[in-house]
Amino acid sequence: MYHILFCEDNSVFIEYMKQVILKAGVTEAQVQFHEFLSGELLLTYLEHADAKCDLLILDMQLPGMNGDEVAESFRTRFPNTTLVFCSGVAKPTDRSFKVMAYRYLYKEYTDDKMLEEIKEIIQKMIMHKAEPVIMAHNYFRQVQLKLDEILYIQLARRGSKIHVCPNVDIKEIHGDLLCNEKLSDLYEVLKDFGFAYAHNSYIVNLKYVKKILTNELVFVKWENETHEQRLSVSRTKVKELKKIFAIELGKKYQG
Amino acid sequence: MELFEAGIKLFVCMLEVYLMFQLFYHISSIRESLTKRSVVCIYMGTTLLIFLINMANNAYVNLIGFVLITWLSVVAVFDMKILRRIFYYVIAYSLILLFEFLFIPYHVIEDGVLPPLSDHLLWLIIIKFGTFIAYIIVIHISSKTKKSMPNHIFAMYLCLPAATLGMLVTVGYLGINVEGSVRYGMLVTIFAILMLLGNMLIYYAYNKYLEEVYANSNHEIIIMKQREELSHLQESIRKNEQHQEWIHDTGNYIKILKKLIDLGQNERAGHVLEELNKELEKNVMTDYSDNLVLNALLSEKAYMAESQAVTFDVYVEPNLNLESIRDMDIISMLGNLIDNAVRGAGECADKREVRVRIFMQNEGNILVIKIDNDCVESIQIHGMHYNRPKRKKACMVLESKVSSIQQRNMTGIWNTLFKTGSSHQSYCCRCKKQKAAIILQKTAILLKYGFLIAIVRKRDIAMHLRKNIVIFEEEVIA
Repeated sequence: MYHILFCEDNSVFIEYMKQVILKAGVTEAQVQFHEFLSGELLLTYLEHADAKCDLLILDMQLPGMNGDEVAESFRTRFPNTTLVFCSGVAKPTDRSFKVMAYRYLYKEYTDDKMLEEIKEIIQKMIMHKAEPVIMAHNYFRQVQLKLDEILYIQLARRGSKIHVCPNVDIKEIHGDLLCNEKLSDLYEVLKDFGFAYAHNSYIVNLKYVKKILTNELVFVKWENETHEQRLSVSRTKVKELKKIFAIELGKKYQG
Repeated sequence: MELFEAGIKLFVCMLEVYLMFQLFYHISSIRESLTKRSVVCIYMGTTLLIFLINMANNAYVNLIGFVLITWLSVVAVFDMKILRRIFYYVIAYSLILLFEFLFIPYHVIEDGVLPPLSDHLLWLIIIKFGTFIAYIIVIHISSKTKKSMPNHIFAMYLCLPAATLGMLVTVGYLGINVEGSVRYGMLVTIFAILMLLGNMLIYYAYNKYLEEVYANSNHEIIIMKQREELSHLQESIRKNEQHQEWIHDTGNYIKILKKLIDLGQNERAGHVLEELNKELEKNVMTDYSDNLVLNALLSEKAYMAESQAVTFDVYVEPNLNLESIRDMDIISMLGNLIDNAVRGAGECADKREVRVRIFMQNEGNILVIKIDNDCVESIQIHGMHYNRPKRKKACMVLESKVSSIQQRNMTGIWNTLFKTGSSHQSYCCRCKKQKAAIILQKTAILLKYGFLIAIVRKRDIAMHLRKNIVIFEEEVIA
């Protein structure tokens, strides 16, 4: 079951979007819609422990809290869920860019254009839900990691060691995060989800790579970091890595 | 004769100070507080002081005085860090000293004693000629400006002063005796000075010409940008006219609808409504991006595609980070890529479609330009500034064509852009240095900005374009 949330003050538009979504590759049985006419109502819902969300379609101009504010609060609870901004007049700002929305939809899109966009959004949502999770542990504590939370995975003596993104806060766990799976086994699972070998000793999440140089790669800079993280790249892997990186970057707007 | 000697010595002093000022001018900047007039005054004053010291005919005073006066004048005129200043001053002074050794072997061999250099006017000119050559080499290597001569042109130019110096040194070593005839001695010295001045003027003319070339290319860029803005304006006018027409048509549709509803003919009203909806979809105002230049460019290309019956599907993600990219680069590179894609699609019998997607990836760090078409024919590429070259010189092909082209000995580079599915573009060009250089330059700029450029295969062309290839190796992101 996919949980699709609308935060939109125009109920006519919500009905229209529901119809488009149902034409875009999901059936009524597969999806559950949740409607919120204001940002405050949405945030109240998100405060519940059992709140679920696979896709949020958020209007940028809302009564009370505006779209950017709502998105920021949403991201604290659902950092990697597919978020789509929707607007009639308002243009995205730098602030809306920070919450990493997957798409910006304009209400004036023609039916065909809207359907085309929604199809891709639904595909992304399905893909995201189907993504595997990695079970990591730190002594006796276990943690479930989503792929978006992983920066790179390193070969370790027994299994592998997982390096998470600096913005991911894993409560009550200090020290190395280990996984019993071998690196090669993990790669077999993760290669379809944007992971690639940069070196025989580690695989990296290409989503967070900023650039690949001749002998090293540079990760994107996080807000709380003073310097970008760098990893050395094996000479034998660099060519293949660049190729995979190019393919990954071009995957968006495949339709 | 004494007056003539004094004149030559003054000329040599002027030349030494001028060369030193030129060197520092090219590696630093003149102090903001100084006017052109005050710089000239300092220059004249320095020259005069050095000349007076020279006239004193005391080697120690000459040695210390020259260093002191030139150092003070350099400090007074040029604004740069102390260590850098010392470094370049040492180089400048060493070069002046170094070439004075040219004079030693001749006299050691001939007379066994070393007379004062200033007594041999021809040698004085020869030595300053050598110093001039050394200075221009140092200036060329360490110059801060991008407008300096390209290396190969500089090397070609150097042939002339090197040959001239060789001639003069040979004359000097041969020991042609002109001391017996004052008139011949004066003539040889004057012609040596003229040779030196001629070489300096040619160097100056070369540099002036290059400055002109750069200025012209800048003007061309401005003209291109203005042309794009003009086309944007024309496009806006055209759209506005269309919009007015559409408002008029919509008014008519509404009147008809009202009439039909009044008459109770709902079915016909429904048909009219459908028609109106189609019109609405057709006349949606296309505003691709907030970036004026990008919008103008895409509007122009959309118009071009429409005229060739090619479907032009564009989506530009809002909030693109285009700030660091020059407008000129957007126009030349993106325009060129889209032109090729449209032309390619235009040659297809079916699937005449070009899809352009411009978006940010990886947390907004990489700007991706994705251009797809379904062209399977080999098509022409046009180089910079929209000039279409002949088919023989360069072509743009799909990946599938690369192997056949290589068989025809048309090796070069090819960049696979957006290797997603069957509809991607690749470059392939022959070993025509200039054309390949253009593509490499463009790609290097693209890479600089973090555009998506996939695999770069480099072959024979690397021989001629090592510098550009290095950019690839260092900056390539994908």
